[in-house]
Formats: sequence, structure tokens, C-alpha cells
Amino acid sequence: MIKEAETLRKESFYRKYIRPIITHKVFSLVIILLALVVLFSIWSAAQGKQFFKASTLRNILNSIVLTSFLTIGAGMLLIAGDMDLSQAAVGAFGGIVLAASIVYWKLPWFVGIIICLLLCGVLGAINAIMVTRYRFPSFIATLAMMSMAKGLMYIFSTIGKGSDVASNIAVNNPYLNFIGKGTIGPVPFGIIVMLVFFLVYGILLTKTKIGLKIMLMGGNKAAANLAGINSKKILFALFVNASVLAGVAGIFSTGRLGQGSLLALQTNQFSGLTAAILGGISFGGGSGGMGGAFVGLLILNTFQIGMGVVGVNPYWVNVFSGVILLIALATDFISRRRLRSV
Amino acid sequence: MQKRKIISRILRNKSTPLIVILIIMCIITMIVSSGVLKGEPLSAMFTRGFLSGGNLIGIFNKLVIQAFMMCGIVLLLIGGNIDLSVAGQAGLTAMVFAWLCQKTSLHWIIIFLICVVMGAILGLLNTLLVNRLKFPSFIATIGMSSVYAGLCNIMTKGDNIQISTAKHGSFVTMGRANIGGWLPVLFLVAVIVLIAYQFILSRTTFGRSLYMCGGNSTAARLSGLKPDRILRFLFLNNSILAAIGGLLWVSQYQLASPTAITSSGMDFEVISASVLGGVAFHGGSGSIGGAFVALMVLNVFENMLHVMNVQDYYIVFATGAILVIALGIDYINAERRRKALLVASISGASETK
Repeated sequence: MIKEAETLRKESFYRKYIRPIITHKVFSLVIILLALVVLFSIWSAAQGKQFFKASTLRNILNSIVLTSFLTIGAGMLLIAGDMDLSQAAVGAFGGIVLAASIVYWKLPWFVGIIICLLLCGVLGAINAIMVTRYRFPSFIATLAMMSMAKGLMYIFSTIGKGSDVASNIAVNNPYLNFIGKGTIGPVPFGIIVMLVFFLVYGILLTKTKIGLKIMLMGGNKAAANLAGINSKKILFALFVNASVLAGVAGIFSTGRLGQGSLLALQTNQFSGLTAAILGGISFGGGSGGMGGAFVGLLILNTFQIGMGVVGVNPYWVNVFSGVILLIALATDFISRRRLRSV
Repeated sequence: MQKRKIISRILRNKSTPLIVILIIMCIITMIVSSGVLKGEPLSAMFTRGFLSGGNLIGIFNKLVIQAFMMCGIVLLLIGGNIDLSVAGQAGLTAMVFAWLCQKTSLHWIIIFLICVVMGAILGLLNTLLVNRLKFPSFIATIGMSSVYAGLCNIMTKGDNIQISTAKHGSFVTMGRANIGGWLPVLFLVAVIVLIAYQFILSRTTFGRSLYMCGGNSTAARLSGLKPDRILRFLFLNNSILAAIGGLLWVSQYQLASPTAITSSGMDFEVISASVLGGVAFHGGSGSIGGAFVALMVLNVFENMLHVMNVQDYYIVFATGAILVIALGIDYINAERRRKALLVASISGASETK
């Protein structure tokens, strides 16, 4: 009798605490992450190098800062069932605007940041108008915006310069240097900002009414509209949000490189989107969260940094990041099949 | 009466505005780029600038690989799927082809066939991912494209591979052959392929069943079609066409480059042209003819800015802007049609009363 009660208690303990963790989407991602860490630790130890140390962790976190802002924006949009391909280009545009406003237009740094975010917001609003008001397919509309933002970036890098040859703009501003390279204690400033953003957006998504509405919209747009949710308004806000966050990424990029670069964020074209999807935000919308997106980013970059530590030809990184994406999709597939069989 | 019907049909056709834009653009470019406005004789219009042989061959050459990609992608889009790895596949097969040409002494036709088979295998890989494992095609093929781009670079550590003219002379002549110094033969081949696919789409049972699969795959299955099998065929077809397009690219430029095809954004241009040309992004409608007209508009527009010596960064901006403008025209047309339908239905309802 007592034994039965004991097993029952154990069972309910399992049901209550352990099963939700094991069946949670993020859990399988964490397992992949740990597996990667173990793999690289052994691999680098075999070569006589050390992977598992504090500086590596800091490198990994540091390398995801730029992408993380893109991921948050892309993730929120994906959850609502839409996407934005123009983020990286808009971010690079923002970085150039910031640099140009400080160097060429002789404005104080905070005004530069405000102008940068405003202009990025305007581009986002154009995206939003195209998609919500005129019902252009978002794939094409944002692709067009990508090309326009790139063009605008070149054009803005020549305004007030005197010549009309587009080039990188070197900035040496103490505040921007702090944003890009400064540390608070041992922790770089960028990492703190990134974590705060993840936390805020995570809370926004799970604990507030707006978050619930976004989830509902992504799950079933028609139902959301019938339930009285103004999905156009929310989508508008999300598009602007994605572009402004891209602008934030641009600011950090300018701060880090010490210049407004014409090639900034170019390698991040798809990585924001990829990380969001890796983190369990499904492509059709309606599911996923910021925790998963964060772990997804960690996986992508642990992989890249790890490959660097063990000294693999960088061309292979490209191949494996594709493979990792497919593996993540596969875990998603397996968990969905398990769900179906239950 | 008959005549009026034809005219109204032409006017109502979705690609008519695009064709008009294309013609206007060609004429403007022809006049401005030839320097007639600056006092050149009128005959210069046909020999200099836009209509000069070299420029036209450049435009047509780029259209060949894109036309091959387009046939595959339009069919896939109509069937409700997408493949973003076409450029990667084309690039990889091109690299493998050039590599085999360099290392082995086989005749190029045999290598060509080997590479087409390789393309088919890549297509099977895609169907495995999308059909069997049910990955969303958009993201799975982005992953694959990254894999292909990486493999291309690994093969030669980033170097180009030249095709030796001495060893594979006929292959190189095939790419260079042209009629009258301005029309490449391969472009004619591409046009024949486009027409064949348009015929399949609009005149055969298989073509019509594609539309049904894309529009409503459940209904298609219930009415006895096999969407899975059709999807497999579409991916195969798409990859084989991409492979052939890549190989023809090699014959045009006599070299295979690990980055020229994969990172040129060709696939995006093809997809946006398809959507501009009336192919629904989520499947169920569209035609190859309209898509190809849109592709020509995009290419001619870019070329127009180049021959007019516009600075590169305005061109980048303008290529985005023309997409938006074209989408806007499409929107206006759709609104007008919707209103006309509304008016017709209201008047019809009042008549029955």
C-alpha cells in the first residue's frame, strides 16, 4: 500500500516536473548544445588545445550579439506568421547612417543613434505598409526592400562627404567605442544589452496580452481576426520592430568595427532567420519563444567558434551550418512524430 | 465582335502591362545609350549601346541559366513549394563538371550526362527532406544551399576552374555560337524549353493537376491525385533543370566559379520575377510565359541603367524600387478587377429582383 503510494508520488513528481522539461522543445536543443561542447572539448584536447574555458564562452556570447537582435525581430515576425528578408541590409544601412551623422554631419552621438533608429523604423514601416495595406507577398516585398536599403546605404555614405564614391566611414567616438567594445566589470556591454533584450521580449511574448495575440495570429489568422484582434496593426508594429532591432544591430556593428562598414552584417543575411527557426519557432507561425531562439543562436555560434578553435578550414563551416540546420529540423520532426503517436 | 474580344482579352491579360513596360524600356534605352540625342546619326541606334551585339549577348547569356531555373521553380511554386537551393545546385554541378573535364579524359557529353544524373540525385535529396521528413521546404532548402555553397568552395579552395578550349572545343563553341552576332543559340534552346514547359502546364492533364495540388492539396488527394508523387517529380525536374542551366553557364564563360552562380542572387531574381509575372507565392496559379516576361523586364531594366552609366548604388536601389512599382501595378489591377466583379454581381443581383 505504502509502496504503491510511493510509486504514485514518484510518478506524479515525474509528470509534474521532469516530463515537461524533457518534452520541452528547448530541452532537445540544450542537449545538442551540450553534445557540441563535449565534442569540441574532446576534439581540441586531442590537438592539445583547450576549448572549455571562460574566454571561449565570452567569445561565443560576443559573436552572437549582432545576430541576436536580428533573431529577436525575425523571431517575433515568424511567430506572427510572416518574415522579413531585409533585416541585414536595413541594419547595415543604420550603421552607415550613424557613422555618417557623426563624421560628416557633425552631430552628437545620441542624435546619430536616434536618427539611425528612426530611419530604420521608416524602412520597416514601408515594409509593413507594403505587406499589410497592399498585401504584397512579404517574401518579395522585403526582398525589394533589401535591395533598396542597400542602395540607400551607398547613397547615405556619400551625403555630406564631398565626393560621390561610396566607402566605409571610420568613426572614433568614445561613446560608440564603449557600446561596441566596452565592458561592465568583466562582461562586455553588448552581451548585457542582448540578454536584457531577450528577457524583455521573452516576457512580452509569454506574459502579456500582446504576446498572446501575436501567438494567436500566427496560429490561425482568420480565427484571430474573428476574435477581434487587429492583426494588421500588430503586424505593422512587428515589421517596424524588426527593422528598429536591425538598426540596433547596425549600431553595435559600427561601434565594434570602429567604422560604418558597407559590408556590415552581410554574413548575417539568413542567420537571424535560421537561429529563430533552429530555436523552435516554426515557419508557419504560432509557436516558439525567445529562450529557444537564444539557445539556437548559441548552437550556431558554438559550432562556428569551435570549428575555429580546432582549426578546420573555414569553408567547411558553411557546409556544417547547413547540416546543423537540417539536424535541428530533424529533431523537430522526431518530436512532432512522438507527439502524434501519443 | 470577334476582334473586340481578342483586344479585350489582350488588355485583360496579366502580363500586358509588363510587356508594355518592357517595350518602352527597350526603346528608351536604345535611344539614350546610342548617343543619338548627342548628335550621332540615327543608324547608331542599332549598332551602339543597348542594341550592340556584345550587350545583347550579355543579356541573353544571363537569361539562359535563369530561364532553365525558372522552368523548375515556377512549376514548384505552382505546386505550393519552393527551392532556394537552385543556385547552389547549379553552382555545384558546374564545379563538378569543370573538375571532371580537367581531371579525366572522358568526352564532355559523358561528363555532361554524369552531372545531370548528379543533379537528379540532389533533387532526390530535396524530396527526401521535404516529402519524407516533412521539413518546410523554404528553410530546408536554405540549409541545403549553404551546404552546396560550402562544398563549391572546398572543391578548389575558392579558385576558378578553366575549361581548356583545346580539349573540349565543341563544348566551348556551343556556348559561344550565335546567330548574326547578337542572338546566342543557347538562348533559342532556352526559349524552346520554356515553350515546352508552358505547353505542359496549360495543355496537359499533368499540368492542370499541378494547379490543383498547389491550390488545395487535400482536395487534390481526395480527387485521386498523388501530391507526394507529383512533388517528387517537381523537385527532380527542378534540380535537373538547374544542373543543365549551370552546365550551360560553364559553356558560355569557359570556366566554373565557386561563387559566381551561388552568390549572385540569381535564384532570388528568378523567384521575384515569377511572382511579378503572376505566379502565386503559395501555389495554385501562374504561368511560365508571364514569369519570363517579368524576368526580361528585370534584366533589361538593370542593363538599361548600366548602359546609361548610372552609378552602381543607384542601380541597386532601383532594382528594389522597380519590384515595388511592379507589385503596385499588380495591386491596382487586382483592385480594379475586384471592383468590376463586385459591380457586376450587384447589378446582376438587382436584375434578378
